[in-house]
Amino acid sequence: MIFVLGGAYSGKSDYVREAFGVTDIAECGAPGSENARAVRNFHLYVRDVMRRGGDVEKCAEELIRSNPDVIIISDEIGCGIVPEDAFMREWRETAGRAHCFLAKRAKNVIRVVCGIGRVIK
Amino acid sequence: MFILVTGGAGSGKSEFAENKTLLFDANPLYIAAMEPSGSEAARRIERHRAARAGKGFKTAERYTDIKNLDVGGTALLECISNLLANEMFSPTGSPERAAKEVIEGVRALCGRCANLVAVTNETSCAGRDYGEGTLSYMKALGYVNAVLAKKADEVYEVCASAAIRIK
Repeated sequence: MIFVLGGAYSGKSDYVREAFGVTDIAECGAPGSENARAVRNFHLYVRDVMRRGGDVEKCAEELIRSNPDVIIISDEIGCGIVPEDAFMREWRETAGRAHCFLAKRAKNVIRVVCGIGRVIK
Repeated sequence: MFILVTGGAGSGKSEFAENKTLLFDANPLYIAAMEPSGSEAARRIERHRAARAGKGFKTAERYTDIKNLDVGGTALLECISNLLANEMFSPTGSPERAAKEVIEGVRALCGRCANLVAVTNETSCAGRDYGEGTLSYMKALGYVNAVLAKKADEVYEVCASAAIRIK
């Protein structure tokens, strides 16, 4: 598994298309995305799992187990002010932890800034 | 030579960009894109002016339409995020037109300058919980940054005054 992280609109999907020759990127957690080469918006998947009361780590584990070579793309959402809304606070924290969880299990972690990917692991 | 410098607010990217520019030329042109639209903007402008006083910069204030700026030699453009906001929120502006104007503007300056250093901003690492106008600005800035980074000879990300070369 390769984990690609970066800000919103930082060019992550274009980077994955160019660097890995991926043509189709599925939405993480969407039906039929289980065998995709790359999935995006992992942070939204985390939010959806939280909303239905699921276990985020278990879901992340299953995501990797069922598709070990997947490229997972996610938005960094933790660099701003603490949100006023309680769920947003919880989501931001959980997404950050889930990113660490993925990063530990990833073969490589790539951080994208200005469309440029840097391997940080 | 075209150098792009990015980083968060207060990261020290301006000082790094100024010093980088001065390595090319002792009297470069400083293209200031921030419009003094209120007392807060005026204070920021004053702080930047004081910081570069005595360093040898000549200043040109240009809030939109940089492509027709009469420049040569070495220039520092500060900054892309202001320029984009000025283009986008002007009466005739739209996200697509603004992004195109900024990219074409920088291309034109690169063609005329021996060395151009441009400062931009990171605005997108705190989620997407914003209004539609802000989101379309963030999207346009992300696009402009990626296009300019592709064109750049060198790209630096500045964090707590430490510059990391990412290209």
